[in-house]
Amino acid sequence: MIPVLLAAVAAAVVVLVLGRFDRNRALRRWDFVLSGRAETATEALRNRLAEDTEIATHTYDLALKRRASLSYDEAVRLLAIAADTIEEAAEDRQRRLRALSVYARMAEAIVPVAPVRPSQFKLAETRSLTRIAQWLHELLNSYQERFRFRLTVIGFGIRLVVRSIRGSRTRASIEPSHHEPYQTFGDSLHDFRALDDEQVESFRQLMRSAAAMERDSLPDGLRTLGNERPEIDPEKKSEK
Amino acid sequence: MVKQGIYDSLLFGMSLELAIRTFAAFTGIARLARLFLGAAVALSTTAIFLATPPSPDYASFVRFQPGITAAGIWCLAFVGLLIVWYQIPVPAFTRAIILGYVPYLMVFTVYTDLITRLGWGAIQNLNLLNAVAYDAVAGYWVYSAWRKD
Repeated sequence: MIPVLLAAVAAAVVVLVLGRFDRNRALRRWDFVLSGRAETATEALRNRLAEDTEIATHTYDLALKRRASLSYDEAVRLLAIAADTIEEAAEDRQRRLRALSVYARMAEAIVPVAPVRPSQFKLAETRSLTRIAQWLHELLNSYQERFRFRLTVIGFGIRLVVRSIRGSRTRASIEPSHHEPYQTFGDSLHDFRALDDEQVESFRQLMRSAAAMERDSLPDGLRTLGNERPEIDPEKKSEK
Repeated sequence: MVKQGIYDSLLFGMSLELAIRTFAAFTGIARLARLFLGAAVALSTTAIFLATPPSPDYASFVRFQPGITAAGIWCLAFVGLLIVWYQIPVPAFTRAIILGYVPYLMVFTVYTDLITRLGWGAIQNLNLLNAVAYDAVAGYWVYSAWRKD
């Protein structure tokens, strides 16, 4: 009975996983990895990520001004808008991190990456997370493991920041005159921006790895890829 | 028995060949695939040597065949999972070989297991089931070979 069960599990896994595998999508991903225009692509990603946080920061600044002029209802409303913007942006970041993790598997070698720096964060939870991660980072064996662990830490950090933003928004709506929720919200925004910078740095390192890939050793179908202008977000195009 | 032994060896050989063809260009992955498949073949061969009685007969065949086939299925499944994990754009026919053969081998495992349970008296009906499954897979391969990549 055990061999039959093992065979059934293997067949189910193969049909589900390999059956859904899209060769054209894999080719698009390889095209992106091999295009290797690191600086242009990194700058484009940096600008794209900055757009979301700039909107949220601007709305947060307005909320602080309204609070200073004792318009608490308006301040709480603006804070909620900023929080919604960040929550939406966080989903986008998580999707991008998952895509980076896939590309990391494809890159033949990953250049050495530093762990996420704890000193740049203001929230206690993100600082603790990155301190523990900094220690674990040294225990991992290969650069690829370290790179993917770095992405996991960034993803987890984003979740913590979003949780902190939600909490401070709720506290602000309960007691809008208190200073603490606004302060925590500002710190969370700061950490979100820092995590964005770390994500851009991971992307830059991945692009460097892809550029270092030995193209002559690749199969015929892949050798000619990457000669066109890179798309910054091929996942978005293929997953929509 | 000799014929089935050759078929089983070819099944493992097929996994190895698919792995070599697919991952040869990707040195990092090739090392992992070689390591795993080499270990799988070595372990399976040792297990077969230890478990096979001195004078094997048809009763031994139905007793050990499901296990051997399940090991072969997992070797093929491993190659298939590595393709997806590393996003290797394999030709459509390579994908079709794994996607068709693994479910068929599962049917074959059930077929040999049922012979053990029901006895050789049920072989006529079971043979029909096996033949239908094999024809379905062959039909799928013909269709895949016909289609353009």
